[in-house]
Amino acid sequence: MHIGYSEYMTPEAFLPLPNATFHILLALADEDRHGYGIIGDIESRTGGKLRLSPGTLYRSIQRMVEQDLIVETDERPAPDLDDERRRYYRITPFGRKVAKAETARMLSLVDHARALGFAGKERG
Amino acid sequence: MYSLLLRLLTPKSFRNEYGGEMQALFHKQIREASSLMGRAGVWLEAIADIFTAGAAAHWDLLRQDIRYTFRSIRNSPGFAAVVMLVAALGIGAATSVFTLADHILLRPLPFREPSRLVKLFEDQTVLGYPSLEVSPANFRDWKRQSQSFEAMSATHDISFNMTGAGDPERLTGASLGHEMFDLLGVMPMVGRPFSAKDDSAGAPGTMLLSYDYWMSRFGGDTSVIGRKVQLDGEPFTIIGVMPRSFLFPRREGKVWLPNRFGDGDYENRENHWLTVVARLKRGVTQSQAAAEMKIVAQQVMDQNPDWREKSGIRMGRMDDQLPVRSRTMLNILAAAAVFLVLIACANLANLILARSSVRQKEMEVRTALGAGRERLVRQLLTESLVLALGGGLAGVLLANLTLPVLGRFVPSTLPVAEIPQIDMRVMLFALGLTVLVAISFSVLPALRTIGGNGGGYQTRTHTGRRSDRARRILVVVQVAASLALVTSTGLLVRALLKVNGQAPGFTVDGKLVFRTSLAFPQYLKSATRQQFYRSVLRGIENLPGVKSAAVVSFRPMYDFRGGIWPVTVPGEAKDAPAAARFVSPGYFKTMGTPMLLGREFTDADQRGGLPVAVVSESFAKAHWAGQNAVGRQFTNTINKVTYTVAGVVANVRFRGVDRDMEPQMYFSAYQIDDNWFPWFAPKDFIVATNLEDPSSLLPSIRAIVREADSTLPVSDIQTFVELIENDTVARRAQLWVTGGFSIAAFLLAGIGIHGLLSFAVAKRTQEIGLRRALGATARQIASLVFGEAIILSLVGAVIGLTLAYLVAQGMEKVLVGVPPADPLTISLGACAALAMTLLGAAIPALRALRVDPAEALRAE
Repeated sequence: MHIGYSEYMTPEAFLPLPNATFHILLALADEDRHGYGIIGDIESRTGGKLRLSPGTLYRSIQRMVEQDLIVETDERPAPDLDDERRRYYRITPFGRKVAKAETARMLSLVDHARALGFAGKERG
Repeated sequence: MYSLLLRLLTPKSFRNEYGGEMQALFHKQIREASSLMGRAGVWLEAIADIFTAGAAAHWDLLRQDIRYTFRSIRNSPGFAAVVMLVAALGIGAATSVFTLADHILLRPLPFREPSRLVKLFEDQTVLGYPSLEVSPANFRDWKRQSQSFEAMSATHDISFNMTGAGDPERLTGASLGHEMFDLLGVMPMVGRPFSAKDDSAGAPGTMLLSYDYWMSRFGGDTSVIGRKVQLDGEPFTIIGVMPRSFLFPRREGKVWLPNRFGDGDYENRENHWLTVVARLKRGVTQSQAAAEMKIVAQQVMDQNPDWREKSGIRMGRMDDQLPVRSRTMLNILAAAAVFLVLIACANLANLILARSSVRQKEMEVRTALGAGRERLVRQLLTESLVLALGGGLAGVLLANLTLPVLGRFVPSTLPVAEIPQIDMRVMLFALGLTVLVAISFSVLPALRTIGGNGGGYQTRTHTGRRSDRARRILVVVQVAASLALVTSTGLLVRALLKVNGQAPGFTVDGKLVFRTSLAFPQYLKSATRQQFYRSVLRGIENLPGVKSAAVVSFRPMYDFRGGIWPVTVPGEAKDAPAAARFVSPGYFKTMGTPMLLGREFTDADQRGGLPVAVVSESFAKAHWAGQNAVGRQFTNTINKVTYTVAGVVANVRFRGVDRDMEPQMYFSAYQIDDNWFPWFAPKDFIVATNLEDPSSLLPSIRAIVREADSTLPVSDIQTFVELIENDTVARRAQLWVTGGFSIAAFLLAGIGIHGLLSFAVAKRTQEIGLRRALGATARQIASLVFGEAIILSLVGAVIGLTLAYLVAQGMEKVLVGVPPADPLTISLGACAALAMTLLGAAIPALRALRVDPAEALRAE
């Protein structure tokens, strides 16, 4: 019943992205995943530092679906491997644009930081 | 367990979409947790997680719905405005009545632990006085002989002329026992309270100021502490200022003085003038104390065998001292407010129903697009809530405007401020009411949304018929409630007319009253007093336009209950009470009170001569029914003087136009002995003139009084017209409020009928067109519309009149004998309901008549 956000909003309007949202987009960048898959992917990529709770995950997913960043897919990449109740999510072209915009924003931030000498050898 | 949490805390739409997934994830986590501790950790995390996710999901929906609501308000601002207005009327009315009730009934008194405070009265039910003030001797004995109280103290009204701080000024206030401060738990905000030493005879005079008087007279200057002033010529020192909230025993008091009883005060147990307050010991209940006081009363009676007028002791909670009339008025207001809220809710439900049938299409589309019914109901509720909140806010503003009027309902004998305030409690009440209103008026449309299962012609006509019935019921409710309101208002109008028509026992036009209280001990001598009265009265009578002038101890319509004394009439077994007034010669002529028999006082009635009295018709009737009272004798038990009746006058309603009064006896001011009853020394001067505006005489009057004694003030100036108006001010304020309520109710009910019929006509356009095409006359079409209106209003009227009768029975205390089923009022009310129905139906009927058959049928 909602009108897709992508129809009248630019990717920049979503920036900065909430942390969870960006990670979910990254998790879906190369393959469709279900909820548990997303949590696992994020956890392994961040070395266990970020572990989304089910509530946070699905609240984010709900919002991202409404915002047209991701869609639920009907295809089951590995139906034999998983419980068929599982729902799979796929990143939309608009979602990719938003992720790119966020990446660009972060890069330019990093550039600034580097210019100010914050990217020294020492590790924090 | 997990799914239960989900059910409780997350919105259904979210749960349906993701609940299964979350549950699966949770189970997986539990399976993976190796230890018991680990599992407990998963549980804790999950609970916190559902809480935050649920709250966030709810918040999202709410924001979405509110956005949607504002969009629909923008789309139909007229509808939104009407809804808010109707809600504002209902909520505003209820809020202002609640503010008042909270102020005088619910809120604890501004004292420490007020629930342990009680008031004690003498109980002389046998003589018709269930709760009288207490005589000093009884107060002393009760205090000594009782065990149930932590403390007991007394207060009584006092008034003085203050000099030594600018113009002479009349000061009213109360005397307080020094125990009173601890007892009530209130201390001066500046300075010190009275001590036992201040209470003792011969101690230097001390006084406390009220906050308001301190601010208005001394500009809140703390250096007044220690300042000396003269009260009735005696020196007094200001020792402190009481806090603003201290309005004890009544709110007009400006000063407090210590209680001082002379030996003479204890001599007569039949002179009641103390208000006694006590604090129950912790753990002692009121009934235990009452039981003890019963024994104490018996002991005191046994110890004083020669005391003639025995009395028991009555005890009541201090926060339960609302006069019956105020309580009745409050009940009426509360009932009126409930009716108005009911009407407003019915009206709103009707509006929303009408609109939701217009919006049915929109709802169906949304359902088709996948919005769950729960979402739609939720959205309807949010919409109602937003509109109701707007109305509630306007209602509170409305209530705020009514506060000054409400102040008139707050009896001055309550130790609370006159004007109630709207504070957090009231705001919470208004908020709660708003939510209640919002839910109640959106329940019907919401039920309907749930009931219909999203499309299908069958379902639609079915629910359509059902909602038509609901709307008819709502209209009946409105007619009934508004009729009940308007009939009650009608009864109040009748009561006011009756009160205004009541002969007060004196004439009103061209009269003026002012008070010049004498100073004591200077005027304790009767001769000194007489000289003063004569010189002032002669001066006033010489003014142009003045017909006559007189002076009396207490003017009519004055809220003083004292001076009601037992008299002994030869041949009667029991003493009987009568109200005493001391008057100057020519008083009855000046008042315009008809002399029925005998004569009034003259200058010849002096001390040393035969003590004479004038009695009221009711007095004569009570004691010498059917006989000539003139020449009869009776004894005043207070001063033990036997009086001979010189004349009989008409009854005077001295306590108020609508109150019952005791038999009255009048004594000559010039026959009072020296040193006798300064409190009853005449002080209210009555001036009868043939002037349009008697108050134009004031400057000359002031000059005359100043010339007679420059230390005496002129105060409490009123024309008799104002006197009578002030007496009925609460009644008129009440009428304004209920009148306003009932006009609003009638408007709402009329709008309700109009809305229902307009809607019905619009829906039946085709049918009406067909009927016209088949040859129905205009009259037949009109009677179709009016017929429905009349049936609805008849049903409403029957219910409404029954309700009105029930309400009126509760109002009996203020109806001064107008019967609850007053035929005139009831028939007028019914006519008004009929007129409202016909008016409400007129426009829809016209519209029905204008239906063009050809066009209506083409539309099909």
